[in-house]
Amino acid sequence: MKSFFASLYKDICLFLSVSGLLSLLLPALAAGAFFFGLSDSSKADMTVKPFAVALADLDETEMSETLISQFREVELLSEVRVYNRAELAEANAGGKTKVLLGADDKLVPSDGMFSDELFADCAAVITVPRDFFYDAYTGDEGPVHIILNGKMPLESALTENIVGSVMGILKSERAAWYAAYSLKAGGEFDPADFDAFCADSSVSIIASALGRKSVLDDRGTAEQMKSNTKNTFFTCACSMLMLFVSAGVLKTLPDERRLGLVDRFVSIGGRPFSLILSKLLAAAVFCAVGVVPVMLILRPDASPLVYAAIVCCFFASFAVMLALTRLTRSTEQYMLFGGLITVASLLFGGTIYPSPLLPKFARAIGGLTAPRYLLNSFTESSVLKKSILPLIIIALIGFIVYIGAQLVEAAWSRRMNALKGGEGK
Amino acid sequence: MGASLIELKNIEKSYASSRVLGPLSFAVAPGEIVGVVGENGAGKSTLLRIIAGVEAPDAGERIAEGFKPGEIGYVPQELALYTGLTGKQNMYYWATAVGLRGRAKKERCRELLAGVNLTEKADKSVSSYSGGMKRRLNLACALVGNVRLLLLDEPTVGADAHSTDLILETLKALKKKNCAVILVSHHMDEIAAVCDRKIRIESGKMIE
Repeated sequence: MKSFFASLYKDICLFLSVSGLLSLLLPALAAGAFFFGLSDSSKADMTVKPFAVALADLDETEMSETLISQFREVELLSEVRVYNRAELAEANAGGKTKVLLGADDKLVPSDGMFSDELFADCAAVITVPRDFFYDAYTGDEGPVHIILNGKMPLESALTENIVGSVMGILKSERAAWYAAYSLKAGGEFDPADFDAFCADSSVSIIASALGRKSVLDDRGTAEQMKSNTKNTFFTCACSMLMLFVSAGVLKTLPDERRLGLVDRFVSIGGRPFSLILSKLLAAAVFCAVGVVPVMLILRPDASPLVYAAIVCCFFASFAVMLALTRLTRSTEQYMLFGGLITVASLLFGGTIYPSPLLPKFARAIGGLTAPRYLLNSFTESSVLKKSILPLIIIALIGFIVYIGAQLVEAAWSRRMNALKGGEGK
Repeated sequence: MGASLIELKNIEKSYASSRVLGPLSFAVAPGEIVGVVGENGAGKSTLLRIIAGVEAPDAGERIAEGFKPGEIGYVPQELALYTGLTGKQNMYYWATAVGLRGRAKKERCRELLAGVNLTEKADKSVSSYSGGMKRRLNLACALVGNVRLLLLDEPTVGADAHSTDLILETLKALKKKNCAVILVSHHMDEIAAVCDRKIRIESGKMIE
């Protein structure tokens, strides 16, 4: 035990340097900056300002026109720019946009499309595919395609949310109407009669979907968005703290091995395991201290399961940084790669930039990061399955990589020593 | 075992399928200073690590006279120091690890730092020390326990003449206190100055 306590004292002293104190302070400062940023936006306006969207109407039927007119009545949308197939082709030919209609009838996004004449300042471009309303009744419904404007994350996320909700309502209402029609038709399907039915019912369905104020209550949506944003900020600051602190405590381990400090520790009866345990405890203490101001400032909507996820996130972060100590040769190398892992984890985990707006490869990488799963504890209904369990898996992988790398290194060292006929280092 | 403090009997050490040390038998008595010389790659550091208990031999016996923690002092070839800590903090770490507490710990560390002429630099960060100072601190850290056997692997590499003399004087003082010393060095003048006997390791075999 005395060697463990000696190790703990040493790790605490080593951490309490300028860099260590900064790693405690920065997440709290980030939380403060996030808090003031949130406060400013809420003081200025309790609601999201109305924004423009564009709609590519490839269906070009009465039903899609009804949908468009209903969209124009939504107060949240300051403008609904509508382009049909011909207008899109003409605009592309005339250089007003680089966006093209693909072979699969989807708009192919291009760089800078939200700065061109057609889609400037739009939060999103929604494509209503050809025969959308007809196919919906026959069960061949293709998805509505949305291109989101990354420079307007709040508005585009709102649009995605709204369109998703509307399409969900449309789907269930259509199912009900189709069931009613099937009952009325009694198994005799008449195409002309069915077309008339589609036209009649669609007006009612669309009005019903867009008339539901709860879908478009911008105040409620804005509050929800603010809460989600606050939780995302908290996840960012908390993850930053855990990764910084873990790296700060573990950074001496490569040099401790290289310089014979571990050997001397063993020679006086110390166990290498207690070196790791002391670092784990030191990191836990510093994270516990550092997380308090972050929680006080941001006050996340944390349930007991979210707190459990925070603890699991700590172990996952520590395990990842511990594994890195085996894959690097010196403190300098460790700090370089540790910094890269921290930035990548925060970025790809969706805590700096919303995950849906990241490219596919980035979202895939994010699936390997602890911050992503900590964020899930706020957004997913099954916290145990979508947050805690993946975090435990990441922690286990980290510890396994650490032990595995140790075995590989020992075997390699033995082989090298045998080839040199050499010293037992 | 007779008067031996530590004895190695027919120890062998192999890496992969190559034997790098042994079979080798070796013993050191209390108060004896033994010099170990040999070319690079001969197996000197491996021998020291086996004696220190850091590595286990693949065959043979290591017979140690019931050493308590801290009674074997090990000075590795690298500077086993935390440069982010002060000299005093480095000493306190090792002193705590061997079981010293409170006033006894402070007193012991103060005495050792004075012995290696580092009292004035004790509260300064090790990163500000010269090479010689680091070597002296390296030695002091190994002596913090009630050392009966001291193992040194090239303790004067990069040290100035003053530091080298201080280190050698410390070894002679330890001899008077009946502490055994095993000194690995390439400097034959150091071996000649302090050692009672010398052994040579060649291709893992001992020649005395």
